[in-house]
Amino acid sequence: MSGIKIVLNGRDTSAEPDETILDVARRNGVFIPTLCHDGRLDPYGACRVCLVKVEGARALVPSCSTRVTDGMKVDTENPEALEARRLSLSLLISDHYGDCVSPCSLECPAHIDIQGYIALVGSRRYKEAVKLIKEKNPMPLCIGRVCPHPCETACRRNRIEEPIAINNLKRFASDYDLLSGVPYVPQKAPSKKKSVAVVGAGPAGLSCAYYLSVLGYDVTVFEKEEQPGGMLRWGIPEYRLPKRILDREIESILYLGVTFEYGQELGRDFTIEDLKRDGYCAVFIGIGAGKSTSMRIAGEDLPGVTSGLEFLYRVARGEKPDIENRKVVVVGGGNTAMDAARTSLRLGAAAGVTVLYRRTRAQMPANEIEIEEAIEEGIRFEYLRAPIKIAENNGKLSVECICMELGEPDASGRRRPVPIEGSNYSLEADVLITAIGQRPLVPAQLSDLVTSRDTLKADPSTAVTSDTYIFAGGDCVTGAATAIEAIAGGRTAAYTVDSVLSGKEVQPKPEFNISKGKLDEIPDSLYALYEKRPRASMPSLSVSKRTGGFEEIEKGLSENDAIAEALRCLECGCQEGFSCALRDGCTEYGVQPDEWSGEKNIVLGKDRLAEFLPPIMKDANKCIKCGTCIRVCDEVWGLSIYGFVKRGFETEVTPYFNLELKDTACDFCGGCADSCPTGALSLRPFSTKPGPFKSELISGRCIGCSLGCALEYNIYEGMLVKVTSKPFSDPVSKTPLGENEGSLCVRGRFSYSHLSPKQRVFEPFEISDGTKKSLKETEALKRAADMFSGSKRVGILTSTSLSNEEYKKVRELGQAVGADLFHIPYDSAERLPETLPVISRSAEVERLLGKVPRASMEDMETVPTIVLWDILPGRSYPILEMKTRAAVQHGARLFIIGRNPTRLDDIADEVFRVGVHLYSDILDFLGLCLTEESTVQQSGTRGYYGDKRADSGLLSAARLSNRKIAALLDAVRAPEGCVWVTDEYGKEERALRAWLNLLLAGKGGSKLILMNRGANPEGAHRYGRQMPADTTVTESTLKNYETLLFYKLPVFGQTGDTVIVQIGFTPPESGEGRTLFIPSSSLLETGGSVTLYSGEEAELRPMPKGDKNIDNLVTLHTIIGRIEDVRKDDPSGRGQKA
Amino acid sequence: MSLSEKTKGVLQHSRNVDKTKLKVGLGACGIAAGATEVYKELVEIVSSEGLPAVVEQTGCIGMCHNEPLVEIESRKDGRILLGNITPKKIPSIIKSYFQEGSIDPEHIVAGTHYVTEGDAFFKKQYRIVLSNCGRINPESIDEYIEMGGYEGLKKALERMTPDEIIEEVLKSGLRGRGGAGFTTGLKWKFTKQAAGSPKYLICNADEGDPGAFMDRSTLEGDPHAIIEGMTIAAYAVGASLGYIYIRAEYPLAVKRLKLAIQQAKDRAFLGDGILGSSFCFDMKIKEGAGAFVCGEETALIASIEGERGLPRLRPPFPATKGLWGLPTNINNVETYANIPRIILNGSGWYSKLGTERSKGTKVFALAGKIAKGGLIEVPMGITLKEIVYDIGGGIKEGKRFKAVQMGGPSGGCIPESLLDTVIDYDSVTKTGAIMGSGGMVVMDEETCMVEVARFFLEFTQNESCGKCTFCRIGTKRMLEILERITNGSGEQGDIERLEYLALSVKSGSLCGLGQTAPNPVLTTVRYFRDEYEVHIREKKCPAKQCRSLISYQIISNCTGCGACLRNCPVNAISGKKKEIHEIDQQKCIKCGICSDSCRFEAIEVH
Repeated sequence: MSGIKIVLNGRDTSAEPDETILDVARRNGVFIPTLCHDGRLDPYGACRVCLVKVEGARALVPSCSTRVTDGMKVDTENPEALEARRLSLSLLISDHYGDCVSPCSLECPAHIDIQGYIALVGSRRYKEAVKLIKEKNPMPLCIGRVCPHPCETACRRNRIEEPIAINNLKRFASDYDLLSGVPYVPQKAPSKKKSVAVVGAGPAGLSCAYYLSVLGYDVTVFEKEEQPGGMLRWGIPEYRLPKRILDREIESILYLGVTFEYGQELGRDFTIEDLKRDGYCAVFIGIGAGKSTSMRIAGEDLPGVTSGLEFLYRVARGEKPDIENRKVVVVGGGNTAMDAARTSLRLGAAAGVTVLYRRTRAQMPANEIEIEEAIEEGIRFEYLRAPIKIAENNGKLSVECICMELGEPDASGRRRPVPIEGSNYSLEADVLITAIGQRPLVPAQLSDLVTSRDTLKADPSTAVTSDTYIFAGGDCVTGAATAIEAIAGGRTAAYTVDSVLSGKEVQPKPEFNISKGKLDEIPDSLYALYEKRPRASMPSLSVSKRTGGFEEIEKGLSENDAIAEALRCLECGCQEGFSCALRDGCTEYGVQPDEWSGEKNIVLGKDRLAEFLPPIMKDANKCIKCGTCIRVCDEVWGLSIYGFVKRGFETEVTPYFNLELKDTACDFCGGCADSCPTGALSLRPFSTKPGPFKSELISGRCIGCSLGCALEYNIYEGMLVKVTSKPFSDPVSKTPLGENEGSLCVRGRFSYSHLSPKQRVFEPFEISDGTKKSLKETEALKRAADMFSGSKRVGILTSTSLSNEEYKKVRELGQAVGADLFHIPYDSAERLPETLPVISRSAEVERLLGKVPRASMEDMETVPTIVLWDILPGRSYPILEMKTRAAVQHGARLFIIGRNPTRLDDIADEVFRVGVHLYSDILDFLGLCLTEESTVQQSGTRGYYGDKRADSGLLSAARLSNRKIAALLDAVRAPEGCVWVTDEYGKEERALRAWLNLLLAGKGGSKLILMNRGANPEGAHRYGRQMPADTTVTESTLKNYETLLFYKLPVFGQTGDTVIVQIGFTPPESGEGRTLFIPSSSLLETGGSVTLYSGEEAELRPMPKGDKNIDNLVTLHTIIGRIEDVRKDDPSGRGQKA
Repeated sequence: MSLSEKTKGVLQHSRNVDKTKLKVGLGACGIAAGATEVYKELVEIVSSEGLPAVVEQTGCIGMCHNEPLVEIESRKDGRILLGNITPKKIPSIIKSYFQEGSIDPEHIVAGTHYVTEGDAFFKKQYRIVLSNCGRINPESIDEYIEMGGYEGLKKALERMTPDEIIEEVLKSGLRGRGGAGFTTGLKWKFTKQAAGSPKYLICNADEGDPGAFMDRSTLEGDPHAIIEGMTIAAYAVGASLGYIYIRAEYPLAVKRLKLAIQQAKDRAFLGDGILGSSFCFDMKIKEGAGAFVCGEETALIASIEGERGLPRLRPPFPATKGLWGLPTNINNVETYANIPRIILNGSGWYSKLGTERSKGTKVFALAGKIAKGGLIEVPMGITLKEIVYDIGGGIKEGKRFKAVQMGGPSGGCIPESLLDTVIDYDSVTKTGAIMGSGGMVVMDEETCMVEVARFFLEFTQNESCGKCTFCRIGTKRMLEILERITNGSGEQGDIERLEYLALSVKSGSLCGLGQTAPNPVLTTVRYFRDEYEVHIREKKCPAKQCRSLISYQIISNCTGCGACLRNCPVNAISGKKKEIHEIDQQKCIKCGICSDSCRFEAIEVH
């Protein structure tokens, strides 16, 4: 570098004088956060998150705007600067009202991305939903059945009517996945060649084993029983969780290669030392809480008295406790009590089952549904009762009870039951089952780690114990709790073990989350907008069928119910939760949400998530007033839709006059939403139900027109979620993503909805005599081949949405079947006019085109003069408009010749408003003026056309002044050259010729940019087959053909008897005659190459989920049998099946 | 026509010196006090009685506490300044003066041959900027010229090069009177050296501090001084167009400026070919809509450009990239008003005044609990004590001095212990306050310093443009803490949190508004920390101002007259006639009306 020297964090660093501190820092890999900086825009300095210390400066300086000077000493990690950055983030958060992630997910002990998987269910992506669930919970089949779902308690939908049936949706997705025959299996990391022991095959142990295995460890699970599952197997009755479901779930863990050692109990059969000796690098203890708590009353050890756990265990093992026609009393109010009571009932305890509980129903810890169902089944509940003594009386138990009343709240917050003196009474029973609590039974070997509650002492956030070899989680740490908590504990342990064994920091920075608050903290007005939609009810066995046996009670939601239920989700979690610069910054700096809590500037009601138009979503409460949307719209697009209103703390950003976006001059390019650093403005995803999804960004090219703008596909599980285009995303190279410099137009951003599964037909079909019949793809292709072969006159019509390779193949197919080929300059998804033009050029135009050099978008930046002829850049090619505007700002002269006003007229040097009929004459005339330079020199500018009477008439007809013409000619004749831009679509051949001749006449070196409609019109020119210039297609033209192939083009007109074959996206609804539809993929899915406006050919990078257009065509060829398999000459090999 | 020929008549214009002049101070303040009626009455009486006198208007005389003011100027008696004049008083005054040659001393506030309280008010002042204010008719260019007006411009154009002018201004030591005190000559130099054409000149007349009226008074009283100063500056920096950015709330100043610009153009002091030279300079008035932040120079520039008044990042400074991206020199009213005299009298004359690093004089608007408030101009180097006690006559109603707030909402409170502080940029800054544009609010013992901080911060928070995080949210959080303290819910640690935020907002904000907004808080915490602590710990307001922390109580002095009961707007007072009344504390809104209406001092504030 030729520039200057600065000292950056103590290191000598070279820099260019026009660079900012931020530029230099990023170039050198020094990270400085920013929220209001955008490489395309002038520095703004609003967010103050990029403050750094510069030696000698009075205060901290914003690095985004401070230019480096020679000898400057910059410290980006200065404590004062770090503190200021942190405070700035903290202040922004203090006025931020939203939920980074949904409250359900926060409430879930395993923090499953609930909103995400619900969205996937809503989009019919069940396998993906399971995959997402299994990132946090490897046992959705079981948990989907037994979880007490605290998530649903937190669900904001509670404020409207009822919570989303979250757990039922989880079960639905995992059942669906199971029944699909090919259940989801995670991708395992390469083997770490280290083994880890897991003690206990309950939910905690299984979860830990699963994640360790996925991480690449060799895992052995030691289990004292002969079967895995722990409490899920032994504690939960069949009617709630069928054993076959549990077995299938465990199979999927076995499938990962986890080894199980049954009948192995720690302390009895092996010791920790044994594990160490056998080479295990660590051990996870997940032995649960399997010891029943004693009631500590007399008679507890009488033969008729048993614990709930023992009872359920025996039933689960297939034993049949002698209970038929007996009278059973169950003591306790938890799930084990319910399970024991209901199991007793099912085993025929006909003399009655009674549950004694010492508090009231409201305090019962069992799941509400369990209690409800138990009552339905006829179990009696006696509340505020407790046994105090058990005695045997003629083989019967006599249980002495006492009544209780509720006293003051205890430590748990529940009101303490207090015995009422003298209220004793007696109860008869055959069997008494105690289920008042469970404790872990920790082997003596681990007694050092045990607490007074008999649990193991471990940090719940890491599973770390005081012994560095031992990790622990699940019930044995927490005491008896839910399965999902145990699963979370197991997973936490797995990741900690991995961190420890790979020498990483054990506890990463906790992810920042802000919440709108608890259910009751949210104002009513927030929910006033939603209509009430009932919760999907779970189909269940009738009571009579239930008690007769152990059949699973809940049958699972139907697909339709599940989707409808998923669509009820309010999407509380921020759409930009995974891509929020504010959140990232807060995580990085350890900001807490309430450090500077105070009033928030909250807009409630209508403005919350008001969608201006479907593609752009607004949540004013997340705006940080960085002004980026305002500036992008103004500085990049020249539109100035947004502005600040109000002052001080109440400052807001709104479209002008507070209009809705749709009522403004907005182009809907989405640039505002794309550049928004938070979730204040976001792009609405293409999926039916927006996630947010943690998408992968894949750079690609737009197929909206032949500019081929660079963009980023946001792909999630093969699904195109949205299209973004962050500029300068690579700080090191600082190379913009393309000539579009990170900006996209409405087409580039949003015109991919045809890829949405909702709107697509994936199965081939045939309509014959009004009836529609589905076909297999091979069959459909064969049918098509037959149709072509059997027809004398075949016509093929294509759109512009084909790759170069496809055009080649289509041409070959046409040749093979002797078809006429019409390339229509419309996109695959566009509405067609009544008369279709055909992409064609005369030989003369082709010849002239070959002679005029083509300009690139880069040339637009430096060229001194731009002439636009009959092109509406704002409407058809917004990026071209943007480039032109930038060029004018940098001093280029702009001339516009055309019939219609353009948005650039205001900044043009001269505008020539000329009718279409005069184009050729005017262009001819201008060309003539340029060639007759001698005349010009002699008589000055006035003499350009002074002696041409006919031309004077022309000029007055075109209402052009001498001055205007002279100005244009002077600019064009300048030695620095100029760029002429036009749109070929709809141009007369004669006018095009005149234009090209004019360009050749310019001495300064005119270049051209020739735009055309659609993705790959240049490809059609180059690789398709040329029709005579000015050809058009009408309905009657098509009637001459026996068979017509519409390739990626909507079926056009009423074609009568003609047989129609359509390979495309939008099939005809019905057909009179014979219609064959074969679905096709889009260019984005196929890849291939396209020919750009510059003549350059560019590869499209296909989305991860490939398709097979080419294959279809190849098959067609092969089937027709007249040509060889063209895949051989497909250099990209794209035709090959993977 | 040569320059001298063209201006000959103008400069030789003389006034009728035989007649007695009756001058009425018709600044906006005088008008508000009823001076228009006084003026009309004088005109009426002079014409009806056929007196040998002319009635003239003039600008602000400065003694706001004595408005309306009338000055009698005659050969015989010199100048006699009459205060608190009403139309009713005029016939007798005129009668006694013209018939008996005497004036009731009770009307006289100052005069050539009288010893009055006004002497002290004027004695310690030194008037450069205000020298014409209250002396000439601001709507008469002739009177301006008679006082030596446009001589500076003449000298500059005829005898000096732009570089020499800049050198002269540099040597004078003049620093920007807008507040920050940047050396004026240096600013001019940068603008002159900056590449780009055309160049612009801006006069910042967006006087936004509550209680400040220096610029308004100067513009109303002596508009030509600003025009002349700007024209000299334009010549020096090479600007061809000037803007005066003035608040639309100053209609009289706008009117007089417009008139003055027209007069100056008519006399070739402005426009094409000024004073016969080839120098051209035109001037436009831009009326601002009253956003405080538009006093910040980059926001002001954005406002002239038609944008929302948002400050821009500096650098680049306006001198290199200002209005429409072109080099722009921006100074405030007072700075420009100094220029003609500096050029005319030379930098040596000017730099003799003041201190080592702060030269010349400074205009202040002295307000608040001061006995004699008004518009004053003092030499740099005078102490605060001299201003408050000698010029201002101490505190009203003999109350105890507590603090003086300098620099408006961006300034700070200087306590009694620092009354010996010398007025110059550096000494004032050392106290935590700023020189500012010249607002000086005096506070007495009945002022609650926490409330003062809250008041100013509320102002700056509301006026924040909302652009940068620290100013938009940081000041809001500070304000919330202050509100908490003043309404009795302050917590331990609040002062520390306040200080931490204040220092962060100061160092982290984008523009001057945010960087100075914490000053009132910081200085009050620094000098009156105990008051904050009493609010927080004891939930009491020592000055008995914070409504949530006080209660009104009726003591045994009460005669049961019922005056308080009748006046209470919320019927919170009950009591039988001739018995001691009682206030229902639940109902009381602490408006203080009862206390004001009590004639027996029977209502106490606790």
